[in-house]
Amino acid sequence: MVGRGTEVGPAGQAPPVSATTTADGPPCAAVDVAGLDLASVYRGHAGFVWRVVRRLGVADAALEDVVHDVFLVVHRRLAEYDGRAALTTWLFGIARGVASNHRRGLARAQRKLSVVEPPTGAADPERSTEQAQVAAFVRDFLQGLGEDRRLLFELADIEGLKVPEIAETLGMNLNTAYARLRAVREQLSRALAEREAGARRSMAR
Amino acid sequence: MTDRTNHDDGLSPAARAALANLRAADDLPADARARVWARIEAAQVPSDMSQGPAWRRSTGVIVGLALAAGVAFALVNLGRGAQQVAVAPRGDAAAYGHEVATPQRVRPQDRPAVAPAVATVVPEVAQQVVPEVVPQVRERREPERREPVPADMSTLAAETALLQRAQSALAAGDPGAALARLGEHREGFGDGVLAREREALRVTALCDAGRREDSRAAAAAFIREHPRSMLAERVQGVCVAP
Repeated sequence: MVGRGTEVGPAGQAPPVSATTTADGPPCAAVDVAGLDLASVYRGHAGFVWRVVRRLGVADAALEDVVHDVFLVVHRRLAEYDGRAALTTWLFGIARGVASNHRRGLARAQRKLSVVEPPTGAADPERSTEQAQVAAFVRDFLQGLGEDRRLLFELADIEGLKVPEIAETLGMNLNTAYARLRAVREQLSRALAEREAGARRSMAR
Repeated sequence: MTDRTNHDDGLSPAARAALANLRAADDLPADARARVWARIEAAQVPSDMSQGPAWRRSTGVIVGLALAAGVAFALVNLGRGAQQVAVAPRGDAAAYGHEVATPQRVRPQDRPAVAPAVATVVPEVAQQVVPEVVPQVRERREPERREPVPADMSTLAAETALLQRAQSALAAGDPGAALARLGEHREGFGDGVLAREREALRVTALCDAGRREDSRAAAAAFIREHPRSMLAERVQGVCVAP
């Protein structure tokens, strides 16, 4: 699993957010809500929100706007956060709503205006690197999953949210969630192994 | 049921590495992190703003509570009478339903006498540039330490200061001075972090200066340039009344 509970500050120190979001903790790990303020939540979780809204289909050009909006909502609702769910789960719920509304608003705007050039997939210098190719491969793989499976997998295995909380948020049976997660993991592992084998064969020719 | 956790059943080492790689590739760039935080700071309002009358009665509470640009729209709207104020950042905020602040109706007499203070990112700006501002009433708890936004804070602080001065001038009814400060910002920072906010604020300043056609032209240009910006719809509403 890749995810970390909170992000690490530039100096390498953990931010002062004690909400546990790693999947290794108990389902409802204790959260020190008293220490939470907007700055610490942003410091600890801006990257998480950024990645999540991107995975929720927000275009690159709109990511900053949507993340901004998410944190405005967080600011307003922070007092309501009681620590029963992981902070990341709570943030995901907000991000999901904001991203969804953003997409709806965008669809409305696009019906009204046709002036916006869509963000181009212009030259990414990193695409030539193996890492970028693998990242692109995984992205394609994830895009091929149904939304629920994809979100489940991304939140669990990339962002480190706890499966029970993800299942609850997505309205998914817990056993189903575990079964799907395992299936996707195996599917990805196989796909990567096949890709690697194909690359080796190509090089051998 | 057994208390299962996210152990990596079925995930190969290569897959784990690929996911770590993807996570890094998708991460929030440092410059975007700084920009977004600056805008969040700009748009912050007291969380008890929705308390309405009690909040308005409090002479110690500032209406906009933000630094330069985002809050300009609060002031714009205050200046136009009963219109929406800054918490909800975009015109389609209603679409956010309960997750977005209820727009506040503020009367012109509630307009703050001074510019709102800068929050945690660049507190020194608030102290040095507008030392007379009333301290903010905003967070329930102060941050434990200053936000370590990984950006060139001196530049951001300078940008913020200029826009804040422009905003103060607007609030004081001196759109000419506001336009001068905005011109300085354009000259000094061009496409800086707060360029978008500057251009939005300029729409207001032009309108307040009686240059309504210029204001509308600037608004149209803004919307053309930034159709997806949260400020676009607000800009659109500036200077439309006869």
